Amino acid sequence: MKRWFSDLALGVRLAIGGGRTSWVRLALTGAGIGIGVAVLLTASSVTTVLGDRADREAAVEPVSAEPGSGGDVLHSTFWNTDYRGHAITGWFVKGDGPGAPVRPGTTRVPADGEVFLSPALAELLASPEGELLRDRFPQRVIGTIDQAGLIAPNDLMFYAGDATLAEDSADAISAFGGARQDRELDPILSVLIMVGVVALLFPVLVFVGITTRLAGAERDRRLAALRLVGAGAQRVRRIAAGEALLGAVVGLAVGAALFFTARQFVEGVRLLGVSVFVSDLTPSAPLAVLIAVLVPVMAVVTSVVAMRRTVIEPLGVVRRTKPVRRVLWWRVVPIALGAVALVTQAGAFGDTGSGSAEIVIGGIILLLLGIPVLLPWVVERAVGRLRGGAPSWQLAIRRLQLESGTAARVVGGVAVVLAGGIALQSVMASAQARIVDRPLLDPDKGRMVVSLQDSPPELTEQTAGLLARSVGVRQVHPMRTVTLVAGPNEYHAVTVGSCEALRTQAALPSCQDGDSFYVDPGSVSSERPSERAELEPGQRVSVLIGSDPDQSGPQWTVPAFTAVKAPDDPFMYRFGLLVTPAAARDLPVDPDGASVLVEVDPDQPEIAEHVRNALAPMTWRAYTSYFGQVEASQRVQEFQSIRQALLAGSLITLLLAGASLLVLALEQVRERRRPLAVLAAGGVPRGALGRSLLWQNAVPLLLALVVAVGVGGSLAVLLLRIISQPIVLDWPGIGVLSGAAALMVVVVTLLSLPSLHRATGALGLRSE
Amino acid sequence: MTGNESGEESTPRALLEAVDLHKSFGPTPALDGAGLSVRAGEVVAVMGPSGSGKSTLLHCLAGILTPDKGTVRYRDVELSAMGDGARSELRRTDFGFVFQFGQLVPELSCLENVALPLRLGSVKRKQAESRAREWLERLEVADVADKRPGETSGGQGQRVAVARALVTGPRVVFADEPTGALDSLNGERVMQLLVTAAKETNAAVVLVTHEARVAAYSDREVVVRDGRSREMEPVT
Repeated sequence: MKRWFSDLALGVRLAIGGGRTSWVRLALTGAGIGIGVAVLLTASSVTTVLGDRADREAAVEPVSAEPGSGGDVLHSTFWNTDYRGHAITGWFVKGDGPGAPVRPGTTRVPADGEVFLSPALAELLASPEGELLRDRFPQRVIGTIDQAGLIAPNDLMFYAGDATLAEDSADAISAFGGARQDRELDPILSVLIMVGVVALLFPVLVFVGITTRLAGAERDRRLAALRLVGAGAQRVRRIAAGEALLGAVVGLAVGAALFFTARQFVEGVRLLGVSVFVSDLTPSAPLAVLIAVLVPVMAVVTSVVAMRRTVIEPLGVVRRTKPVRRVLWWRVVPIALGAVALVTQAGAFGDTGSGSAEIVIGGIILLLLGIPVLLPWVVERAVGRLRGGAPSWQLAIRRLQLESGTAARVVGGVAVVLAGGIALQSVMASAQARIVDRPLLDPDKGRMVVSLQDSPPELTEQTAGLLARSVGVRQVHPMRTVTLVAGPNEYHAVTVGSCEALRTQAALPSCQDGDSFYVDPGSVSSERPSERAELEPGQRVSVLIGSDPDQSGPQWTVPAFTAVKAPDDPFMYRFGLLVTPAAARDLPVDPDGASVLVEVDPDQPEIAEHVRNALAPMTWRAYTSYFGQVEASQRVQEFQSIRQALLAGSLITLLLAGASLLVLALEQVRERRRPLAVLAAGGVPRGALGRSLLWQNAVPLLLALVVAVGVGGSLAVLLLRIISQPIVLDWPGIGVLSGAAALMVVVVTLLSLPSLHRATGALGLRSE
Repeated sequence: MTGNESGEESTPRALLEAVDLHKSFGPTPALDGAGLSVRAGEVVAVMGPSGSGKSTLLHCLAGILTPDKGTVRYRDVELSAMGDGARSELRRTDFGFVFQFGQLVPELSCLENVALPLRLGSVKRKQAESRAREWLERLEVADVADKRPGETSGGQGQRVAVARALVTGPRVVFADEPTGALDSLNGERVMQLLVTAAKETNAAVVLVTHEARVAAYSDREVVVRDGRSREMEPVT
């Protein structure tokens, strides 16, 4: 064992002893493995992120007080408002004694006129951006809600005291804290994560493999020298493993540093509108240990596997076997198996949700793994058929015909990124297309609806008065809604309002106070079957008070009515009876059913914010709905931003693959320094040698592009079938990625030209 | 005189003996019945034109290459019967090597390079480096002890290589064109130091060269041509 350590230590010593070249090699290896480790640590934190969120959700879950159980309780009413498209949620509370439960994240129960704000809301209110919002939070701020009381750092949340809270309609809470409920990820998101992790990790592995072969000729010479002075074959392997181990350990350190540095900025990142706390993004301990063990093991295994066909002898390195012509059959097996695995999951993550994540991940890995397995065969066969051309072309092709394996391995990494990127982009494009293609509701910028909670009729008048004084309000139409129970599970809505108000709800032929109308829900939609049954004039029905349908309320007789069609206005129609005030004199009042329809000036900037501010004195009693902003367009924007982020991710990973290509190009120039110098000395122009380098990079990459588009497109189709989405291939995305790959080849060639220039100088002819 | 004849001439006191060696690389024969015997403390020059097989003969004698046919015996033990581990140990303890270039590990300092065979043999670092420093001084290159091979001149590098070859106290030093990359002045100095140090430690030297000037340092000369060896008559 002591000898083992001594050999590994010698390997480490050799890895750092070669001056600048050694340090560059170590830095590249560290960076490559480091990026992989950072991705792995992020992936290993997902369970903690979800678990911590679920824990906090459970901790703030209110426990309802048992009636008559005694003890102080907290009365609480939920309220939400919108501000420029952001949802702000919170609770108005009133403790009925000193023992009332304190919500996690706050220090006490806020008294009347006091409020706790989430950090994000406090920041918004303090900023110029939040100027129009300040009217809605006139309370005295007594603190911020800390992490224990929030789900995410970007939550816009408040917790306000209100002595006017109606105890009978508010929730009575005896404590906070419920059972944790784990959530399942959205299937589309799950599939995207699976493809993303595989597509991102694979090029990193390729990069690690390439960097372990970096300066391979020098390593071979070094190891041969060790053999010459008496190191046995096993010892030389251990020494080589020591070299690889150092790279892995440096990579682990770089990856951990990268992860923990990037983690500090995670609270500012929103993905699908969700952000996470810094402390949430903590790798689970067993997975972190696994990464710390597996990464060095993998690096050593990669290094040893790379040496499996070579024998280090005292006089140098020899190939164990002659290069053999590659065969196709086993190279298509991973792709075929992957495709079969994904085909078996068709539709499984769509409507049924019965899919196996393991099979999908396995299928994706096999398909993507199949690319670098297949590419050496494709490159060998394709370049084997190429003939003739200019000298630069001939030099490149002959070189590739002689040894195409290394080039194929490097472009394999590029191809995996491209295929993964194509699949990701196409899945996103399809999901986005579904939202765009869905018939969108035209935004109605001219009307708002204010729903009043627990409001006696005089409060409705007060609300109407507040609204009438608001900026941009043209007219207000108070209405109230009552639910009728005509039989078991047979409910009908009754809307009471002036003719003017009712005309906003349906196309009325004529209307006078005392008239009633019936809007047949079947005339618009069949989504609410319980309301399909028609009412009969004179029919006795009971009125639902509160929310308990079993409690039979006061009786009411359905008045005579005129049946009308629902208006062709998706925002405003109401079903059931529309009744003018004179026809509803004996209709019992439900305090929760009052609402006000507000006609506003659509051209008034920020009209919705002005109306909401006008209603600020009503606090929890009034909810406003505005259909001037269409949710779907926001989702499209969100999808667009995710797609852009994915594209950026793919391009960054492509950059890493480009780094592999550059490393290889430089290495080839260095190793072939002498023949290149001889060619230059013999009169071959350096331009021709440069172009031969370009072809040497471009030909395998072109072939890789063809394979990547084929496999990536097929993967996209299979994944879209799995999540039951329409099949849409993202051709612009494919174009951008392919163009970036082509550009990469040109840049890599340009960057390797100085090295070629040096190699073909007079010094290149020196053999020592 | 053929290789077989050379073998017949060997005495029981031979330290290293090769008989009727055949070795081909693909269809190309490199050795075709060559032989050689080396006694303790003697310097034998192996001469011949390029491609004659002299380096292949040296590699077979050192156990680096295994001949297709024929035997190499070192202290009455046949090398081809030894495993890779035993041959590696032999190279570490009983043999030393000086090549034209490329035998030093570029990542290690000159001192570490010289100490390397000792350290591979489990000698403690301080002790190994102390002995390595003595040899660097003996070969007049103590001033480059902390430099890497790439930072030294060709002559200095070869002297470091000689120091490394001799540091373990080998019985046989194999030198393949040791002055091939040096100017005549440096070449002479390297040869003087190599032969003197070998004589002092009673180590035999097998010296492959095509330069008569270098061969002049030997006790006797063997010529290799077309894979066969022939003993040169001593000049009287």
